[in-house]
Amino acid sequence: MTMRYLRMIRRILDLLSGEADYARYCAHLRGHHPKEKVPTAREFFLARMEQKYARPSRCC
Amino acid sequence: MDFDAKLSLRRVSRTVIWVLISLAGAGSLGAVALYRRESINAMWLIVAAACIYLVGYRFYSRFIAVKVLALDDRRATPAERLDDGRDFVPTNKWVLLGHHFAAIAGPGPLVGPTLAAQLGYLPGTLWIVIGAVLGGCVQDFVILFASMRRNGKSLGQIAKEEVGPVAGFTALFTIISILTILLAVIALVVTNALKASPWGTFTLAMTIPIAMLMGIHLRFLRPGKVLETSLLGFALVMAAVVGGQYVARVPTFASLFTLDARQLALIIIAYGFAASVLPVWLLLAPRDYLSTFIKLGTIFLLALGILIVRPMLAMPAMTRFIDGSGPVFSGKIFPFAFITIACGAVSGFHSLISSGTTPKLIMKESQARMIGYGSMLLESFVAIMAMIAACVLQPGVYFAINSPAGIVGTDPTAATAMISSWGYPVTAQQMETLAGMIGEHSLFARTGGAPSLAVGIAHIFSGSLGGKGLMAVWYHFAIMFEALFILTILDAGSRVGRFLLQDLLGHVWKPLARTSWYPSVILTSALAVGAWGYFLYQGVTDPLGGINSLWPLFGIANQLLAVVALSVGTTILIKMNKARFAWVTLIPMLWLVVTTQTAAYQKMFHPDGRIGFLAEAGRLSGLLDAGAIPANQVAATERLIFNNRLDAAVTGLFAFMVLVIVLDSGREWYAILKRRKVPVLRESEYVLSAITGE
Repeated sequence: MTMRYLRMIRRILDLLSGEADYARYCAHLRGHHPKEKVPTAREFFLARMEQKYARPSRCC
Repeated sequence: MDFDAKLSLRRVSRTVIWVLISLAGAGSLGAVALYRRESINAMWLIVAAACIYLVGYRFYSRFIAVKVLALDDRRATPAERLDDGRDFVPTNKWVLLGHHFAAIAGPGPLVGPTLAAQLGYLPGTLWIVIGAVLGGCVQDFVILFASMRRNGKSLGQIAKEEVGPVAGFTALFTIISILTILLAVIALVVTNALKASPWGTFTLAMTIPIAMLMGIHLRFLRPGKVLETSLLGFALVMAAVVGGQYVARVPTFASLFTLDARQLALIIIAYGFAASVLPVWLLLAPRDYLSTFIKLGTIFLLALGILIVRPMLAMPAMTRFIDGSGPVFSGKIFPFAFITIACGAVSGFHSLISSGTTPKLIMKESQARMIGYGSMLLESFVAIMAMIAACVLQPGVYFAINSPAGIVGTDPTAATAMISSWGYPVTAQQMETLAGMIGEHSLFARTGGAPSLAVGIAHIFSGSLGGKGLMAVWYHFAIMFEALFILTILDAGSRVGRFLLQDLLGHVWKPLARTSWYPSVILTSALAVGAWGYFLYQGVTDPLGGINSLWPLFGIANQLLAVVALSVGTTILIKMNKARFAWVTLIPMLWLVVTTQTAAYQKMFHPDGRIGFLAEAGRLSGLLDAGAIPANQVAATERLIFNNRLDAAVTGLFAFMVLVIVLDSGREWYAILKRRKVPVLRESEYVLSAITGE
């Protein structure tokens, strides 16, 4: 029971922090574009960061 | 009981609950507004705000969702239609609420209410609650909806397509100007919080190598492991907060980190330039993770602390300064209360976030209600907590911290005597004891709101967690927390400013638009940072403390952007054939037009030099002509005159742009309503949703 809750909290934190994004993207590529090259985790997160801070992402 | 009876019983009990919530809200708001004795418990404010938020969310946002916008869960959202696993992803609504709230919550709702507390707790509290429920939340919700129906287009693009090219260009120009003033004023808040404070300066300086360490960890060792990296960073930052007191005790280190406002301003400008040129993974991104975690954690702790301590408010409901003569900012309750508190009630800047990443991640249309309207309610609640933190201080202490030296002078005894003569007793001894308790040399003339907020937070935290012994650590934790995410916004904002400029200048000469071409990167970064840096430096050299002139400019600019957003919203409602509901966005828009125009007019032409920029410029040049200025201050005075005229011109430009947008939109509305023009709504296509359930 406790383990289940801990896992659930971990899952929510992964989603909130964006740690789950890479796995999701890989799954999407495998499902929809099996021929496309899957980026490495490092490539993926670097590209995400560049993109995020090119637009207003933080407010007053 | 049969099914029908059960159903009607449930309906009755629900109605009873909502009637009770409404009564509790109305009752405690009445208590807050009418209570006129010694002091009132902060819980009344919390209960009043919470009940009004609940009623507003349950009824008004539902009305907007169902009747006005007609959210349709059978219609696929862009996240579903364009799902690419990366930019467009159907996301759990609670996760998205977290992202969106973290993006909109900034220093605005903390600083604005702290400054507005000079009027007493009542005017600010009423505007925060009512402004949010009827204005700010509506704006965020409607723009989120509009962008969601247009594949996540930005506010500028929507303005251009739905209203016209004039509105589109004005929106873009407004965004760049508001960014400049915003960055200048929050940099000024940090400067004033850190000046002559070796402990605070050391802690904040340490966050730079800590962020870089995190960046290297995230880049090379454990790509994407944000949680563990943030925990590591948090532990190091806490060590820096605690360790700062030992640094401040060693004279060699202490003198290294004891800086005056000008030095700090120059360092922050240089830092902003470096951060805008450096790769994001090294400094900006890891610092953003760190500041987001600390921000959310501190907001949660503050709410918990207020609930545990249930402090009494020492500030009266209304002070004598509603007449406009206050030392923190000048000007009467109308319009300046509504300009000073921008972000906690209505913040135009949110419309940029609502038309950014969030609309691309919404799973079902109906969830836009919770994410758009709901996040802003949370933000408004943060503003209420900031108001409480400012009002738990003795009013005399509050005014001693927040009054600039230009008004109360630099001598502690004379300053406290003057503040006491206003009717808010305080002694130099009391201020010295308090400064000692929080580990600072002096708390006089620490304008900008951050120090008094930090004293308030330290007061609440030490009352609930750890006792008075930890007050100094809590104070510096609070300063670090505010400064950390302000610096994050400086980094991120300078970078966005650079991209906007590159985009704009690319029309003049193509290569300037290339974001990886170093000459262009350096040029546009220098332009973006130089622009806010100029206003920052103007602020630190202003004898009235800078906040007095820059914060209203920021408030006017932010509310102006809200006018842009709400007029775009009104245009869309009219085009959707919902003109009968257009008052939903039109009323808050008109209110903001009235407040920004009045405030702008007074900032330009008010005969009192503390309010009107031109009057102050005239007074100073009169002194100069009469030879009343000592020779060594002539150059400084000439610069002051120029700055006052510049501020007047910027204010005039803002006011003019409000009129352009309103008139341009009004022309469009008139043409559509008179059926002289066929409304063309540029929504993306209707596709049936395949996602069922939650």
